[in-house]
Amino acid sequence: MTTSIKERVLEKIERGEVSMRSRAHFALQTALVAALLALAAVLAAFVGSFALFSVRQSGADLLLGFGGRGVATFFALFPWFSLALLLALLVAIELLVRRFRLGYRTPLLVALAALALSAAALAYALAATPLHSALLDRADRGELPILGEFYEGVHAGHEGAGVYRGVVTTIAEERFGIAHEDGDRDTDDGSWTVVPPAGFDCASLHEGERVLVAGSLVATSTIQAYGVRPYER
Amino acid sequence: MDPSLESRTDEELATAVARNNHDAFGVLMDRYQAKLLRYGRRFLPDPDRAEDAVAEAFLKAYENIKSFDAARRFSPWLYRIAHNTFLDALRRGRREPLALDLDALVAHPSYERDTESEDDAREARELVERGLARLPERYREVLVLYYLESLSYQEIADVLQVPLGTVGVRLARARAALKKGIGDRHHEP
Repeated sequence: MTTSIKERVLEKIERGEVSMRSRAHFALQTALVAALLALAAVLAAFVGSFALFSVRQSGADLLLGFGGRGVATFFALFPWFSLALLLALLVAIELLVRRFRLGYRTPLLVALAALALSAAALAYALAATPLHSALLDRADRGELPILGEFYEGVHAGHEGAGVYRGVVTTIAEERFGIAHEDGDRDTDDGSWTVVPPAGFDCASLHEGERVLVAGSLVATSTIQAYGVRPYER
Repeated sequence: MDPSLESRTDEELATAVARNNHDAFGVLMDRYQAKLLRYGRRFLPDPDRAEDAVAEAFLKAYENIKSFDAARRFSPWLYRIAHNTFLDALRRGRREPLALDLDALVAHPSYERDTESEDDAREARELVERGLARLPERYREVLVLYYLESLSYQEIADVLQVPLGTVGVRLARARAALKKGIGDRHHEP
């Protein structure tokens, strides 16, 4: 029985039905996996840093200082799509890495944690460079194909979620006025009177300063705010 | 056939195969076909299917022989190919949901049981032979590789492509499942 296996296999080899793959084939395969790994790593760093950039640029990170309501709004505005894309890329990297000895010898959770930490570090490093600001400028000038739409989204207002941005126009004792005009959008443009939260000192503001206001619209163009922060971005 | 081939190591023979020495491949097949058949039958009880799968594994090994690193051991490399071929054959025509290997998620401490006496090992081998069929696949493969094929933890980790600690955990669980299964059978009316 066992002899027949050997004969069958050797016959197929002799007849040329099976041939050895060359070393170049395996070298190319390894190079391809390495290239895919590098590409996925670069993409992961880019997507992660874009998520950080858009959170900072939109002022969503300031919401974290506005108590529980601010934190809830932060999570509602978080760029979840970017995070989902980042996670998908990390899973792809893990699958590629597991083709190598070091990859499959590392427990899955440890490997994923290490990948997530590395991606976060790379994303922070990349977000600290002027790369995204430069790309945003190009998108604003209409010179960024494909990615332009994603970058333009950074400017989107979140009035529906109770987050307003604007320049301080008037300051009274217990309220102040803001106006927002970005020139290319209508939906988030407008003027509002802001009633700040208790204890907020309106005198700390000055006209022309950009602020981010989180609150509820209590009357036409009047916001009862639960958080106000200078917003120079 | 060159008679000196018989005295060469597996790794030397694999290197010779990569240089188109078909006789060397014949010697490797002589050394491994009985072992792989025995291993294959744990997955594929039908003898014809097991033979076909072993032949397929040898053909794949031949196709990929130039990817073998002669600085490493040949046997885990071949078992890895055979293992995948058997699993493919087993799953052919049967759809399986994606299963998450919980044992491979976290790090487990691992130590090889070098204190096992020959009597203990013989008893374990007998237990394995008797209770194997009732065990889940992931326990079956690790028991066969350790007790019947005498691979080390490290080699099993390379064959199954799991962390070293996972091999230890799976073996411990497999032994427990085996003892429980055989104990239950003894108490069946």
